Amino acid sequence: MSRRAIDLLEADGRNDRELVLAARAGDIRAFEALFYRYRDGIFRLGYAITKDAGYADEIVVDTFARAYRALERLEPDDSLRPWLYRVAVNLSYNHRPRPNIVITTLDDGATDVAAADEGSPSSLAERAEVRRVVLECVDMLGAKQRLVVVLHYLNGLNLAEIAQVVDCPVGTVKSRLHYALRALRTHLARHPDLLFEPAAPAAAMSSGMEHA
Amino acid sequence: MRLFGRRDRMTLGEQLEIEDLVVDAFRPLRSRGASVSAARVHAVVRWQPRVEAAHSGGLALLPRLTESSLALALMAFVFAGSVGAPAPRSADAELGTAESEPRVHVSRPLDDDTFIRWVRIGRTGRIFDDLDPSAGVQQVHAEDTTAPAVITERRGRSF
Repeated sequence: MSRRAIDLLEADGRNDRELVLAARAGDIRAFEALFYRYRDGIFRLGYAITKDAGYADEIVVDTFARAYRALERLEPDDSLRPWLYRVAVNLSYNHRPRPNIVITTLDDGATDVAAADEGSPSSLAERAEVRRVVLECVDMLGAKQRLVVVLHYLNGLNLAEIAQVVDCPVGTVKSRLHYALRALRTHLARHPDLLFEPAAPAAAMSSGMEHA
Repeated sequence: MRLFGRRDRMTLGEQLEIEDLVVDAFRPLRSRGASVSAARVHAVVRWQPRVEAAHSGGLALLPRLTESSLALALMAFVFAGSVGAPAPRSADAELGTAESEPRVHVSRPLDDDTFIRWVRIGRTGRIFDDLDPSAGVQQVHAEDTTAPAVITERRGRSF
């Protein structure tokens, strides 16, 4: 993050409502503060859907361009974050890469971060492999379930905010999240070479053997 | 060892385990950020303060009305210029001659021979060239009024 962005974020302690009202009145720094507050989250969302950093950057710009044009219509009482994410989701699906475009995978940053973690090279490689497999399984989910998983576990939105983003009841979001985790469990079970050690199934298996 | 069984029910432990895996898998992506700045957005939307526009009310329409009236005036001027222009006047109208009379234009000074020739030909024949009376003369002989012979002359030569 640039020095200017950090300064803007630190100096501006106003909430979203105040920033929207200030931007509507012509305060350019208020709009920039909003931009730097939500820029990275929208980038991650666009990157998770399109799997292309260039597209994700375009989605960030387009999202805030639309936000600027909609400043007069934005209700300051509503939460700005779900609105921005909703625009970003729509733009991301418009920007879905064509088949002939080389797509960078989600796990290309895994090695970069893993290199900075502490641990032996073998454990780092093992963690990177687990991450790759899990992201593969996330990619195998349906579009709706995948979007809910990305919004919840990557962007940190709660269920009510996700419901606003995808425009459905909170119960539907909860249901999609649950079925997404079940599907992930099914997909992960197809990778027997991954040595996970969940406590409950092992305990149940050992107790069953004792009873037998 | 297999991580999970193929049961349909998912225990809380399994759910927490999968959630931890997903959160950990997204950690590298969570550390990434956009490389664009607010200037890109400004370039797209061309930031303009809206304070004046918000408080001007009906005055905000004044520039639009001015532009529209100016455009309408320009269109009316161009239309009137193209439709209302005076039509080109013909030489006949200037001379006031009838269509049946021979049209004679004198484009060079008359000497005696030419004048006599003009008098003779102009009364009995038709000149086809309005600018040069010596060219294209249809002459009628005085003694033969029923079947006029056509003599075509141009610059002193007969054809």
